[in-house]
Amino acid sequence: MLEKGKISAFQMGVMMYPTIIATAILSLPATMATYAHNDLWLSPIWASFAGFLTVYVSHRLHQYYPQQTLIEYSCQIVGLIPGKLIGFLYCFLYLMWTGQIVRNYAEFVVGAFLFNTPIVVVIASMILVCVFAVRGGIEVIGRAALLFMPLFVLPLCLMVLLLLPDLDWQNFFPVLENGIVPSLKGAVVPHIWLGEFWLTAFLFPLLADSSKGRKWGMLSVLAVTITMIATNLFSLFLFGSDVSSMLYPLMIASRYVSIADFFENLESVVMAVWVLGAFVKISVFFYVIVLGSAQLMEVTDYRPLVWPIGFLIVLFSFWGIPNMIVFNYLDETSLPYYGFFMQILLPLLLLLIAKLRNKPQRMKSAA
Amino acid sequence: MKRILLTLLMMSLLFLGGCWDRTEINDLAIITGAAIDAADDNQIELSVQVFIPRALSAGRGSTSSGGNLTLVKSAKGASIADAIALLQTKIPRKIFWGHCEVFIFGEDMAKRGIAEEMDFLVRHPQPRERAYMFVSKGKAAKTLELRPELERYSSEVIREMSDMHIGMLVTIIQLKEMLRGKSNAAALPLIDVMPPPNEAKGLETAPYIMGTAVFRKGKMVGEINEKATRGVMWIRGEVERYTVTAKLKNVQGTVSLNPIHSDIKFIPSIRNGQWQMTIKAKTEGDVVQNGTNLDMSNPEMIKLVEKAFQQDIEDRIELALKQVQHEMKADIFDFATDFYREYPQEWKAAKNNWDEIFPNVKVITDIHAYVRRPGLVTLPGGIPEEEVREK
Amino acid sequence: MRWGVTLGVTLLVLLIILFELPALRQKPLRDKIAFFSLLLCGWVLAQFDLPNMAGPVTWLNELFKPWGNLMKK
Repeated sequence: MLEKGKISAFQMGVMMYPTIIATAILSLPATMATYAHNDLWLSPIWASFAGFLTVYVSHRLHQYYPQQTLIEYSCQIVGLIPGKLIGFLYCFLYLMWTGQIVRNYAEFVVGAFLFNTPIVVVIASMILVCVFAVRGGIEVIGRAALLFMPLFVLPLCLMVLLLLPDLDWQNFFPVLENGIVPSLKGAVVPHIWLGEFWLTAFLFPLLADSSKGRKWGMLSVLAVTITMIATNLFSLFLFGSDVSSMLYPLMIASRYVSIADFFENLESVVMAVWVLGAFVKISVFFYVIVLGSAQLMEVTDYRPLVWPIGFLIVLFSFWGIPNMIVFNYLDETSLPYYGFFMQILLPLLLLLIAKLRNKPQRMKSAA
Repeated sequence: MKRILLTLLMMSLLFLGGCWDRTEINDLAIITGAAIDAADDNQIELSVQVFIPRALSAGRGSTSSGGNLTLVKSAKGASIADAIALLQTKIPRKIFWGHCEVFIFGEDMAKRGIAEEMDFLVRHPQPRERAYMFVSKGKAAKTLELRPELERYSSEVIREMSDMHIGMLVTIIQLKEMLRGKSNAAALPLIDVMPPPNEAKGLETAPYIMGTAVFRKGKMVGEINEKATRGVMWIRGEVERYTVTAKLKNVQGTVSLNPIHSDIKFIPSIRNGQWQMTIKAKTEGDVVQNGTNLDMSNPEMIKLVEKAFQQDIEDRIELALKQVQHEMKADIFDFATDFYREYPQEWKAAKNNWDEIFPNVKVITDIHAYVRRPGLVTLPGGIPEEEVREK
Repeated sequence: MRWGVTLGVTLLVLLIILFELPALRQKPLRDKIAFFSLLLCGWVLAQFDLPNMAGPVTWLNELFKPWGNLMKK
C-alpha cells in the first residue's frame, strides 16, 4: 500500500460532504430549476439513488478486495491490460473533472468578487495550497476536512436563519404540476455530483475501521441529499420560479440578507466558506488522482507525482473551455452521460464480474 | 537548496496579496442613489448621487440644514452601462454601486419601458439585490439634488420612508420577480418632491411617496393616488403602521384606529368558467382617537366602530380594484400566481388570455376588523359625561 | 509559440524538478520516469493555446451530444 496513513470512517464521511456540496450548491439549484421548475426539491431525492448505489457498489467491491483500491482490483477483475485501461480512464476522468472543478471555483471567485484578478492566479494559488495538503497525505486532508466542516456548515445555516422573514412558502405550490417527469429531468445533472461518491472506491482501503465505512458513506450521502433539498427549497422560497435565471442563487441570497439595517452584505462570508469547501473538494479529487496514477504506474511513492499532476490540473482547467458559457453548456449536454457510464455502469459491471469470479472461491472456503 | 526554494516561495507571497482587486475607500465614488431618465433619441440620462466623504468630517455640526453631503452628476447614453462609461470620465474616482440603495426611474422612462435597464441592475455584480426601486413624478434626477433637512441626503429620505411601509416597498429582486412573473404586471412606489416652504429655500425640501406607479409588460400604464395605494397595500398584505380613520354611520365625528396586525388570504376559485377571487382579511387594532360621543367601554359601541373600520377598508380595496383592475387592467396583486397554484391545469389553458380574464375576475371581499383595546381612556376625552351616548 | 509563456513554464518546471530532485534521487528508475514523463506532458500541453482549442471535454461532448439533445427535446 502506497499510503501509510489511515483515516477513520467518520472522517471519510465528513470529507465527502464538502467534496460533493462545495460546488453542488453553487450553480446546481439553477440547473435543477431549469428542468424541474418548482419541483426542484424533488430532484436531489432522485439523484441520491446514484449516491447510495455507488457507495453500495464500492463497498461490495471493497469487501472482495479489502486492501486494494479501484486501480489495483480492476486489474484482478478484468485482467492486467483491460484493468490498467480502466484505471487510466478513471485517472484521466478525475484529472479532467478536477480541472473543471477548479475552473468552476475560480470563475465564481473572479466573476463575483475579484473582477480584475487574472483567473490563472486564482487557480494556481488554490492548486498551490492543495499541493501541500495532498503531499501531506490522506490524514492531513481528513483532519483539514474535520476542522473546516463546522466553518462550512454554520455560516450557511446562519444565512438561512437570517433570511427566514423573506421566504415565501407559497412558492412551493403547485406540487407536481406536470407530473413527475420534470423533476426526474432535473435529477440528470445532479446525479453526477452524488455519483462522485464513487471516490470512496479509493478511500475505503485507507480506513482504519473499514467495518463502519458503509455506514458513514451512506450517512454522508444522506447529509448531502438533505443539504441539496434544503438549498433548493430555500432558493425556491426566496426567488420563486426565477431561480433558473441565476448563475449563483445562493450567493445572491447572501447579498439579500439585511437585518436591522447594518447586518448586511454577507457575500464575503459566503465566499470564504466556499473557498474552504472548494479546498476540501479539490484536495480529495487531487489526492485520488495522485494515488490512482501512482498505483497505475506502480511507483514506490506518490509524493513526487503531486507537483506534476497539480500542474496538469491547472492546464486541464483551461483545455477546451474558452468561457463560462461553454462550461455550463458542457455540464448539461455531455457530462451527465459519460459520467453515468463511468460512475454507475462501469462500477456495476466490475461488481458483476467480481461476483462471478469470486463465487467458487467463497464456496470453497465455506465448505 | 530547500531553504532557497522556501525563501523564493515566501517572497512570492508578496505578489500574491490580491493586488489586482485592491481598492481603497478613497479611490471610490460611493453612489448613494441613482436616477434614470429618458432622453432624446431613445437615449437615457443617468444621474448619480455621489457621497462626499470630506463633507462629512469637515461639516459636522456647522452645517445643520443640509450642507452638501452629496453631489449629482449625470450623463447620457444608450443604456445604463453606456452612460456609466461616460459618467466615469467626469468623476475622478471609480464608481461604486455597492452602497446604492435607491434607484429611481423618471416618469418618461417608466412609460418607455424599464426592462432593458432592469437587466443591468440584476446582471452587474455590484448593484445590491435589496436596493429599493421607485418611479418619480416628472424627472427623476431632480429628486437627487434635493437637500433634505432631516436626513443626510435625499435618497436616504425615501429609503427610510419605504422602510416604514408608508408606500409600497419593492426591491430589485421583487421587481424582477414581478416583471418575469405570471401576471405580467408590476407596481412601484411613486415619489414626488414636496413643494419648498418658500422660494428662497428652493432645494431644501424632501421627496415623499405619493402613490403607486402601475406597470404592464414592463411599461408604466398609470398611477394611483395615496388613497388607492392603501387599498393595494391592503390587498397585498403590506399595510403596517397606518392609521385608519373611519366615519361612523349616523354619528358625528370620526374614530381613528391603529391597525397592529392584519392577515390576508386569497382564495381563488373557478366556477362555470367564472374566475373568482375571495379576499379574506382579518385585522385588529387599537383606538387612538375618538372624536365621537360613543363610550369606548361599551361592547355594543365597539361593534359599531368595528363595522365602520371594516367598511373603510372595503372602500379602499374597492377603490384600488376599480382603478387597477378595471381601468388599468394590470394584475399587480398577482392573482395570476394564486390561480396558477390552485388551478394549474386551467391556468395552462388560459395563461395566454390572462389579460382579458383579469379585468373580469370577480373579487369578493370578506373583511373582519376587530378593535382590541380602547386606548388609555374609555370615555370620550373632551366632552362632559352627560353628552356621552351609551346606546 | 508564445515565448513568454514558454519561458515561464520552463522556469516553473525547473523549479518543480529542483524541489523534488533531492528526494527523487534515492527512488528507483521507474519513479523517475513517471515523474519526468508527467512533467513533460504538462510542459508540452502548456505550449498550446489551451482555452481556444478542442480538448477532451470537447471530444466527449461531440460523442455524447445526441443524448443531451434528447433530454432537451
